[in-house]
Amino acid sequence: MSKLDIKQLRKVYNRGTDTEIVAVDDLSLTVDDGEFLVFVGPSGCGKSTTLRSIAGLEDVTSGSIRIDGRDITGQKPKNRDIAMVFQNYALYPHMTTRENMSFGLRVNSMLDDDEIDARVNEAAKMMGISELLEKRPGTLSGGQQQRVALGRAIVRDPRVFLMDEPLSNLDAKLRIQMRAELETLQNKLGVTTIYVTHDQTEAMTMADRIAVLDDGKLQQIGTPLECYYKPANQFVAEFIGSPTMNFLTVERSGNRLVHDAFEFVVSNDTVDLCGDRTALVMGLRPEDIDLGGDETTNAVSGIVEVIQPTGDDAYIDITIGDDTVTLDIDPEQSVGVSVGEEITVSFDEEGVYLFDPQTEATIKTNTELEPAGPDGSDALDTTTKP
Amino acid sequence: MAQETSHCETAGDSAYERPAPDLFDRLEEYVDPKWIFVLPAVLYAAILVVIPMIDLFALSFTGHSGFSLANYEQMVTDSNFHAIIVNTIMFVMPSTAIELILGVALALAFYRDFPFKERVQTLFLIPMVLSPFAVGMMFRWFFDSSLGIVNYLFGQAGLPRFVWLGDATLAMISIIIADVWQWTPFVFLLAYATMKSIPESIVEAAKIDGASRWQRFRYVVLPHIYPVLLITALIKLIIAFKSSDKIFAMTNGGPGSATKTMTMYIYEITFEFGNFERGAAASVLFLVLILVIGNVFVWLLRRTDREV
Repeated sequence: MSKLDIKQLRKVYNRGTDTEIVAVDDLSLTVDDGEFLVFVGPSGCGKSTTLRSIAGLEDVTSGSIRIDGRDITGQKPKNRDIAMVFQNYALYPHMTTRENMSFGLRVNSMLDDDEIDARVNEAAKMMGISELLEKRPGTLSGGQQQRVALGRAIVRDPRVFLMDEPLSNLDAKLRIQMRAELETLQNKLGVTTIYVTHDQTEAMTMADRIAVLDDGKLQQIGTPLECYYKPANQFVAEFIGSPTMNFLTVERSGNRLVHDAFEFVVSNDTVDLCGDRTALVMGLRPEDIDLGGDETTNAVSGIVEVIQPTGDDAYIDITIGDDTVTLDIDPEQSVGVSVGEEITVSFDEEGVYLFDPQTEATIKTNTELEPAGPDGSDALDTTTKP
Repeated sequence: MAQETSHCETAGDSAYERPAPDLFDRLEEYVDPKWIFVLPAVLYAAILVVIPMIDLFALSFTGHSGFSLANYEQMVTDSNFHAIIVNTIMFVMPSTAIELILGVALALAFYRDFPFKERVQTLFLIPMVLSPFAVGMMFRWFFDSSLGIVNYLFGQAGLPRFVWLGDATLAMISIIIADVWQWTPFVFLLAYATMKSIPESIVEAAKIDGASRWQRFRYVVLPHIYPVLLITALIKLIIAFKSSDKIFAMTNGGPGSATKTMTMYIYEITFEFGNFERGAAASVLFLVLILVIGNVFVWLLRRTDREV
């Protein structure tokens, strides 16, 4: 039952030298009690540094971290009541699973041996590793080691779970399985969890809310669907979604968006959003582009470069003018398409995103889907940071 | 055209034909080639190690009239020989133990970053590269009762001055100090390198688990470096057992024979007294002693291997 508050967190490496690096820049956010928050971003975006600062493994340059109102900024890790799961599991190689799981309780709690044993047995049962308790990590598979690492975190019954890319060392199939298990586990335990990943799919599927970071700065914090449908800026739009959003540079002239190879007519509502901007970046999600369309609608033609069937989808790269655009279509639709062929594609205005080329700020988001929240409010109401 | 084709076919066939059997092919029929490859090493070992060792054994059992156990009997009953064994152990064990403790402590100190770390580290390694004899000479001067710096400093501090190398116990302590000075860096180097190989996340996991600094050392760092420490201890023990140069330079085994060790004793009997048979017997006993200790370490190491 814990709430985590981060205020104006800043972490600078090599301060005052030529090699100064601002890893985390003025980060403020609140993680609600029992929430599953995912930090996502490319390598070097500051997500791991933030997590390590919360854990107490890094000294922060300025700012504060509070758990349930208690300031833990300068506290040692052991006084923070947190548990962490590492990417490489970080199990003690010379200890058995049982010893690994009980180590924290043995060195840092008043519990007697029987109670420790009971808690380890319970956590092991929950993780399905009861039969591995007397084995050493070296004899376990990657997936089993990961379960032990999670068990070691659970057994401590901490206020906050911190997970640093815990699934990235597993193979693809196991990763998907563990993703679901982790989510179930977190729901069951209800422990506030911060999860770091560079994998946007992991973030989208597991998170209650996603915090997208880039260059040490928080770009957006919101539910996965908010980040997908209402990205705060071009970076978030590009990072969230797979395959990634297509970006085309266009000039607005009245109601027309003019690209080197085509023109797209938009409504007055969109024109109003643009204000007096004429240079724009147009964003198109691959799944919002359809095959076909005739010259009377907003149709665009392009040359097929690559066709990648994935089974349930087909990705087609086409060149439109000097740009390459990726389409995500049904595989049966792709059957008649061949490389080198000229095809016509079309997209609705609702699915068109527009960004400011200078500030990269979002001008227009997807207006097609506006699902209502449980309380009748707009579920996609984004909490963005300027 | 047809001719050309057939020519090609012939060329193609011959490419798959086995070349005429050479010397190795013919040898292969009689002996597995791996034995041919190891033969030089086997010959080398046989000529320089195995044959001399058999000779040594034979020599050690040689009396005035053929086979005899007299050489061994003499030694087992000789109180001088007992004293030599005690001297050797009194030098080898404490020096190795102190070097292990200091070496690990030093490695722990270097585990964290501090200014000029690399340079200080290099300084610490200098003693190791010096010749033991030179170190012995150096410390002989340090501990000299009238001219040595140790007594000078003791005098300045108002402490009594000692005849360091003239007293049986003090002489052994002086030698151990010199040995610790020279060999602690060796333990430090190996312990430090092994500590550096501990994945950082394991130490961090222990921090988050709430382990204190001592607990992290006891339960995470020490188990990790333990196998290397065992090997280091074994190597260091063997070096110490063999060492005679430093002791020779400092005390020449004196006072009396209070600091005389096994190797010096064997040298003395064999080359100064010319009793090759007894020297051989002493060498065999020495070999057995080292083998026993070595096997204890190998057993400890195997046990650790099974555990991890």
